Order: sequence, then structure tokens, then C-alpha cells
Amino acid sequence: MDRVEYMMKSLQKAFYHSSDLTVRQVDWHEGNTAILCFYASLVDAKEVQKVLDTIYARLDTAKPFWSETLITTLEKFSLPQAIERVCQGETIVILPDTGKMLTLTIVNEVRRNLEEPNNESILRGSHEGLIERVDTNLALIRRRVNNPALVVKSFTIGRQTKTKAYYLYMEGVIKPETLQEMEKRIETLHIDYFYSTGQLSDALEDSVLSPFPQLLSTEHPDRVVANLVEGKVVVMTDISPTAFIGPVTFFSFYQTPDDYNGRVVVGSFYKIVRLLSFITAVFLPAFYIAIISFHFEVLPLELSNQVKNDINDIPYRPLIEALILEIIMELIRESSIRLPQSVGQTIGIVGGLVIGDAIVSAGLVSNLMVIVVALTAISSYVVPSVELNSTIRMIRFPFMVLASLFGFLGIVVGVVILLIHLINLTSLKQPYFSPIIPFQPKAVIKIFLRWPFFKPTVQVTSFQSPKDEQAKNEDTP
Amino acid sequence: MNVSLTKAQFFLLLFIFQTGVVYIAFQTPLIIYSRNSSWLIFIVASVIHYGLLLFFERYHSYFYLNVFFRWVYQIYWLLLTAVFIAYMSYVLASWVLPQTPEWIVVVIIVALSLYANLSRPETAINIGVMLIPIIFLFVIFLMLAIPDLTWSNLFPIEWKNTKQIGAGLIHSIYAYFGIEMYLIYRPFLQKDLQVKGKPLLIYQLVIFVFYFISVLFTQMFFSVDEISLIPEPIMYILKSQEVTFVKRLDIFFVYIWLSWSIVTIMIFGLSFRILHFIKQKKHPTRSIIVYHILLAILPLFVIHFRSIEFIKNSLHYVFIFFTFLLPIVIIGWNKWRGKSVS
Repeated sequence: MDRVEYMMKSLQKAFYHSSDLTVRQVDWHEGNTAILCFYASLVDAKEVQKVLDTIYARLDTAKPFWSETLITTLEKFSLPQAIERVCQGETIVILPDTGKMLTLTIVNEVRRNLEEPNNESILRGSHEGLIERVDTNLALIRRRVNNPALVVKSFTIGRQTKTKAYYLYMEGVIKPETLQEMEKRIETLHIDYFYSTGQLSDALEDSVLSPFPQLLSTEHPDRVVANLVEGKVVVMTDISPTAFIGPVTFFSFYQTPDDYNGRVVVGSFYKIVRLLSFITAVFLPAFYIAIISFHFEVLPLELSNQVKNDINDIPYRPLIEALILEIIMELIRESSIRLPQSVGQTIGIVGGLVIGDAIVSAGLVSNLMVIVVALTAISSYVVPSVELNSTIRMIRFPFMVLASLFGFLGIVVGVVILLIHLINLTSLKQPYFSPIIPFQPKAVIKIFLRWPFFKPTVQVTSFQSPKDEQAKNEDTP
Repeated sequence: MNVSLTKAQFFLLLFIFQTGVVYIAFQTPLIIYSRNSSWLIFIVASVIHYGLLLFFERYHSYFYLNVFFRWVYQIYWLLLTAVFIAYMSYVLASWVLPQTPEWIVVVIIVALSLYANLSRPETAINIGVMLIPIIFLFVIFLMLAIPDLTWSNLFPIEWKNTKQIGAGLIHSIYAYFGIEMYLIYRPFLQKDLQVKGKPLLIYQLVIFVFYFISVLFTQMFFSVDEISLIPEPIMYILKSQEVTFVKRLDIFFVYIWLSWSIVTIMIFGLSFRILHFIKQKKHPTRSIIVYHILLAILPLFVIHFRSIEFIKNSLHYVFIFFTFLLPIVIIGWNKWRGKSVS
């Protein structure tokens, strides 16, 4: 067996004889032989042929830098490096006589169009969305920030999958401790096979078991840019359109690009509406249960008569009633997501109207409970973030149970536990419940009102509150 | 313990702590003993309180607690917290939860305090911020009683009866108990911050106005003779307000007061933590848990009408000793010895 044949067999063995691997012997300059190796699934073969023709022509004219082009490089051959290059979608031409390897970067790009993200609809502003190719995503961001201060650093995730990933930040805006914390976490990533962004967020978050997301995920490039200029760090991977942003606060999840694309007054109004929706989304069913089960006396006489008439014939306790409807609501939501869009809408209508009406007629739940649960559902879907939306839908259940056990006392207990949890929570070691904890009065106003947008606000970095009068970190340094 | 406070955090901590449990009830003993002159005597008591604050600010560095006095204050706070928890449970049982066993309420309150105190100290320090809007709500709804107030109840002022004035001043202490915490938390204030002068005056004015409104409203809403029948006058005033959207406004405010008082209990726990762990000790979590177990057990011995009434009628003597006399003695003793907090 000659040397070339031996190398080809070694290559095939190294790639476990995959069917989409092409290993071929080709003629090279001055009667020599070379080995061409690439994954047919990742490489545009026609383009490879064109580039090789160019290289042949250069070799014939004996140019000294025949191998150097924008998409080719010549380096010393080593099997592990060759495997890595081929896995990344590059083509290698091994020259056994010289012990070198020519690498051709001609990746067969499989990418979808830049469509608006389905889970983050906006009314005004850019409708472009990130996609599953990080270089396209970087282009979308760079196009919005024409400044070298936008720094992009690459790393790989997955010891076996070696997936490309990047983190971005604005030099001079980001706090050094934020960057150090993110870099520390990236360095300590221990993932063998990376295939889902959930793995990344689990590894980067401060408290994985908390129901509250501590990294903001978005598919909107303009939202990414807005956060970059606020001194945040963004992490993106090559397998998902989701960009993770940190550190964030609880209130970051209530912001949407529409707030800043619309009028100041209108933006402020909808910000307030959205924040108030948190109260109805979490507490309304619990409040209703507490009143019906424990504190009927708070209702005015006229209303209490109506409520009594409505719930008199219902065989179940208010908690069971609420659970029946809430679970039906979750089932409808889950099925309408999994089904094709047209059928999903039908399920929504059938579930919402037909089942809702039938269940009241059957005497299983009261009309009032339908109103309460419907209002709660609408309120929970107001949150612009899918993650927080799911969290809110989930945390209302413990509140319902507490309310059915202790009435308003149960709600107070739940609220105190929730507040302590939120105060304890951090995002990249920075306070999650800022600017309420630590308290910054000026920044609190900005939660509720959308000021005319001149300067971005940088998040505080510690629980030690900035000095009273001059709110530290208030403006971009 | 590595904690540093800003002025806002420091004063908020004091405010929540001083107003937490007593706000709904301190008016009754004051008016019983001072009668029509209550509001004037309360003004005098507030001036004395401000004087004490100025004294504490000037000599706070001499409030050095040795091991003995650390234990004295820890035991005092433990017992005081237990009494407050018993009172909270008693108020809840009388106003809203007559069927719920009192021990359940005690366990719930203690469990919340335990959770807060097992977290970082900043949690108990900062959680009071969440009470700011609901305390405002408390005062706003109290304003609904303005049409029912009788201004003539404020007069005639009797200023000759020294015994009455003395008793009124002593019972005003309920409003300003716990001011010794000023000395405990003062060393944790950020070094370059000044509180003497305007900040201290503003704090005194805020707490005075907050309490003074409640004294005036109580005095003008109830006659002097009927006040002895009203143990929690602020709640009764709220109960009597008629609004269109709810029938019993007071129920909401009982729970607002409860949240407020729970935060006070958390701050007591934090104070215990600060004194207990002033020097690095082993097993900090264990000590906090033991403190809370005691807190869950001790109130059960006093949740009875007679015990609560007895304690309510004698607690002011304890306050006088621990809030005023002992700190002054400790400061004087340390100043004489030249020993100060490093």
C-alpha cells in the first residue's frame, strides 16, 4: 500500500466511513498526487472545483504565493487539525509529498431568510430577525453600530460538537466586572454535546432553579443593539437565532422596541399597562379564591348577592374550579402552539368559546371564574418575553393554593416569599430587582415612564446602593 | 458582617422598624392617659425623641457593646420579637382569621423571617422599600375619615396635671421604641455620609408627621371616654369608612399592616444577626435557625387576651430601660473609659 492510499484509508477511518465524506485522489502539479477531502453535505463542490482550477493556473505560472487567497491557506498537515477543518465545513487538499495541507473555505450556506421573529412581534421599527447563522447575525448588528468599540469575541461550545459561538460588548460602555463575570462563566462551560440554547442559558445563569429568567433572550437585532449600548454583554451561537443578553433586571423583560419606536406618552402608557398586567396575571385568581373562600364580607352587598347566585350551584371549591379552567387554558395554549398555525387558531376558538360556554352550562365552573381566568390569561400574554410569560403563568398556581388555604394571609405570604426571592436573585452577579432594590428613585420612574430617549441607562453592579443624591451608574459613563 | 448602608437605607430601616407593629395601636394608651392633651404631649415626646437622636448621633461611637451587653440586647430583642409576633397573631385572630389556629400564623411569620435572614443581609435591609407605596395607601385611605372628625375633641388642653403629662410622655414611647437601633446600624453607614443636621431633622419630621396624623385622627374620631374600648383605633377608623368598591376596607389594611410588621420582625432578626456575628462565628446558619425556632415557640406562651393586655400595659417600662436608659448608661460608661467602636 503506497503512502497516499494509506493516508486516504486513515482519513476514512478517522471519519468513521461516513457516507457524505468525500476522500479522493487528485493529480497535482508536476505529476504529484494530492488528496481532496470534504463533507459533501457542507461544501459547494462546484465552487471547490473553480477554486482548484485557479490554484492550478497559479501553480503553472510558478507564483511564490500561489496558495494565498481570501478563501485558501496553506499550512502544515496534521490529522487532528484536518479533522477539525473538515468538520467546520472546509475543504482540505493534502499534499503528501510536501507534508502540507491546503484549506479551502467554501461552505455550502444553508440559511433562511431574515424574517420577523414569530415570538416577538412589534408594530413599528425593524422587522428583521436574527437567524441560525452567526455571521449573518453579526452583520445585522454591525450594520447598526458602525463603531470599532463593538467588540466580537469567539469561543466554542461543546467539547465534541465544537459549535461556534460569540459574545459581543461595547468597549468603554460595559463595566469590567460584567465582562469578567461573563468570560469566567464562558471559560467554565463544560458541555460535551451542544445542541440547544437552553444548555447555554443554564450554564450562564446565576440561579438555574429560579423560575425567573436571568438572561434576556431575543431574536431582534435592534433589541440586541439597544442592550449593547446599555453596557450589556450578548452571547450568540451558530445554531440558533436566539441572542442571550445579560445582566438584566426583572423589568427588562417588560420592555419592547415598540416603547421606544412610538410616541413618548403612548410608550409610557403601555409600559404602565404592561407592568400592571403582572399584578392581574399573578394575583387575580388567588384574590378571587381568597374572597370566595375566606373574605366574602369585603364585597359590597349588591355584588355579593350576584356572586352568591353565580356560585351557589357549583359543586366544587373555588380552587378546584380555578384549576379546571387554568389547566384547560394551558392545554389550549399548548395544543395551538404544536399544531399548524391555521388549525391552531381554530383550536383557540373552539377551546375558548365552545368549551368555555359548555363548561359553564354543565355547572362545573361559574361565569365569574371564566371571567377571572380569561382576564388572567390575557394579562399574562401581555408580557413581551416568552420566558417571563411562562414564569408568570406558572407562579400563579402556588398563589392560588396559598389563597385557598389561608385567604389574604396566603397571598401576603406568597408576596413576601416572591419579593425575597426577587431581591436575592442576581443576573451575572448584579441585582435582578434593580432599580427597586437597591432603590434608585430616578431609575424607578424610568421603569414606568418612557422618557425622551437621549441617554441609555447602565445597570447597577452591586447590592450596595449608590449614594443617595447622585445615583451611580445612572447614565452611560 | 460586611454591610454598608446609604442614608436612604439607614433611615428607611429605622422608619419601618419604629412604625411596624405599633402604628395601629399606640394611640390608645396615649389618649387614655393624656386625654385631650394627647396631641400636645405627643409633640413634646417627639421633641425629646429628636433630642435623643441628636445625642445618639453625637456619641454613637461610644456605644460599644461588650459580650454581656450584646447578650442582654439579643435576649431583649428575642423576647420583644416574640411578644410582637404574639400580638400580630392575636390581632389577626380578632380581625380576620378567628378560625385559624394561632400557632399556624406564628409559624408562617417566623418562617418568612427565617427565609429573609438566611438570605444575604441586604435582603432584610432593602425589603422595606416595597412597603413605601402601601404605607402611602394607608395614610391616603385614612384621609377618608376627615369628614367624620370632630375638631373640638382636641380641646381643652390640660397642662397643669404633671402626673397626666408624665403618664402621657411615658406612653408616647410606644411610638418611638427601638431607637437604640440607631446606635446598632449607625456604624454601618457609608463612611463619607453625614446624617447630622438636615437628614436627621427630615427623618424626625417624617416620622413625627406620620404618627401625629394618626394621633390627631384618633383623638378627633373617638371621644376621650370611648377610646379605652378601642384597642386598634386606626383599624376601627378604616373599618368605618364607606367606599363603593369594597364593604370592609379594614381587612385590606390589616394585611398591609401585617406585611409591614413581618418586615419589622425580619429587621429584628437582622439586628440579632448583626450583634451575634459581630465577630466571626462558626455555624452562622445554625444560630439563625435556633433563634427562629425560639421565636416560633415563645409567642405561643403569651397569645392570650390577658397576657397580651398585661404586656401592653407594662411594655413601656421595658422600652424606657432598653431604648433610653441603657444606651445612655453604656455611652456614658464607655466615654468615661475612653472606649469606642472601632
